[in-house]
Amino acid sequence: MEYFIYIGTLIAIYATLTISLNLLVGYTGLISIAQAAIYGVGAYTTALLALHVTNDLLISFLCASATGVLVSLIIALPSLRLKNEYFLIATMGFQAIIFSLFMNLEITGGASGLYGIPHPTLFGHTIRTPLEKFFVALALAVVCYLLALRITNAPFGRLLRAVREDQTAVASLGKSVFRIKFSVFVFSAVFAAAAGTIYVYSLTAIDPVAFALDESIFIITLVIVGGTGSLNGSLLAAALLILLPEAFKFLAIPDAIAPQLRQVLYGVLLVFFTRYRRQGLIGEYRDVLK
Amino acid sequence: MSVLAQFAVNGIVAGSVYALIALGFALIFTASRVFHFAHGGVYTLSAFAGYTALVTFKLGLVAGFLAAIVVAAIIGVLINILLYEPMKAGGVSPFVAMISSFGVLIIITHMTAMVWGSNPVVLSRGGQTTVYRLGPIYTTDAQLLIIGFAAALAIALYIFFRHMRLGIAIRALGNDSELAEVVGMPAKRLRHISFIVGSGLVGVSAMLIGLNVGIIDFNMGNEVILMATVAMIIGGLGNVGAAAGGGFVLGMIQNIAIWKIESKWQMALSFAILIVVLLFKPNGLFGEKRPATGL
Repeated sequence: MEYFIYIGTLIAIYATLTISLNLLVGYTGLISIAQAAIYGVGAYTTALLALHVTNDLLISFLCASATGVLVSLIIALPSLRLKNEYFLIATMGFQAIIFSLFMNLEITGGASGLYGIPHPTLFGHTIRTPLEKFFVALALAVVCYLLALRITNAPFGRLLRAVREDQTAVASLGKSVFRIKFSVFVFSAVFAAAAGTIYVYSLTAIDPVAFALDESIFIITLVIVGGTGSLNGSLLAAALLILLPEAFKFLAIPDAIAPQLRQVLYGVLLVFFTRYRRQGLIGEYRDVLK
Repeated sequence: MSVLAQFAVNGIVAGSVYALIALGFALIFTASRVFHFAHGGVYTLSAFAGYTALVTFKLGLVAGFLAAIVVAAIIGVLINILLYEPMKAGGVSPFVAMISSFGVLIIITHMTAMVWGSNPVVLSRGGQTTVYRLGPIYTTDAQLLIIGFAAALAIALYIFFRHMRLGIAIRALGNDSELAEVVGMPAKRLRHISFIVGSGLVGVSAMLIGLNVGIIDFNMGNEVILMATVAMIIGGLGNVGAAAGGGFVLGMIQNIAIWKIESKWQMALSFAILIVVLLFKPNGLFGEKRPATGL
């Protein structure tokens, strides 16, 4: 039973990450592969805070989001001056630099990561059981979904789509394209970093590998499989792609090759969807990936 | 001083390694405008193909290299035929092909791990390594081979792209593939040739580098392809000679930096250089002014 609750928590974390990235990729046309780095910054902030200062859940969320925003500013300011491939490569550069910091700094525990992180508290109550943690993760995913829904349906959402379709037209109307992209980048970082908080408290440990380039590519895969520009698609993809490899456990696939097979499956999905179904499972805007 | 000289020699070796990978990567980019990240996967797979011929079946060094080259060329051109060409024909931009390419990289890398295992294996041609000593500086025959091959290849490709019809045609193709087709160039065939040659070269590189390091593993292509990307961009996009130059510069910087900065920061340093170059010198150190790259 606990196993299923853990899977549920994992789905909620990836749903949050996917929705937050979809705002960038699907609505604004910015294909960033630094999402795992920002997620990691949130996670390390939470872990260090819990180990040395406080394990209050709300303060953790707040501080994780704050450092997440700070790092996203550092990434966005230079990267947003570049287009398409070059934006992607610049974010990939930041992903590699930040991952290298996680792996090599003393304070982040190097390659072995951090462990023995206390359970979080919320209004004096200690959140100890996996079920309670699942509800915290679910709450974050729901808040992220609702806010993203609100933003994309608001006039600002139309502005985002306009930037995606024709930047020059938006600029000619006197809107600052840079400022629009910048705001959505920062908003996305808040939730990616908050997902890091959930990760740390549900595992009470950190493994830096969880924030490597592969992870960023996996989150992009989730966005594309679900459908760029579709929030429901992101939810669906997070659920499907986390559950699918779990089926290996019931198919008696040897443990030695199961993790490899899982990666191959994700790779095949990324290739398949970029080749044959660029609108994703339930996306409507075929033109995002053109 | 002699320490610095040794670092410089190490830098030339590392630079040649990056240049070798960047050359094929840049050749493919020049022809197709795709950042072919799966090149890293082709590199890994060809090293294991060479390993199978050389170590498992003991067929000798020549067969090892041949196996690596043939496997690399076939996989490379298959990726183009099955993925990039249909995408291009469907009007999809090279940018989306680049994202697809990440998927192919993941597939090849992890399939290799499924077939050959996820532990490193020893790639050795048997016999002893000859160490050369020049004053206080040491180098090995495998390293000299890498430097020599990289230099010869860079010069050959430079001449090919500047002075030979086929090379000039491939460059024209990269700049404007529609126009190239309008004037009657066999665009598709030229791209296939570029994938065969570029991938075949990475097969040679994989064996040279694998023999120099002595061990190979399924992850070996990932870091290498990232460094090739950095090399190609800091050298100058769409120009094969510049990519090789970028590789040399990157290798030199990394190794001379060891003098002051611990080697664990090499990756971060390389990407920091990449970001600075992207922002302030988007045409690269040796690139021409070329708005066609889209920067």
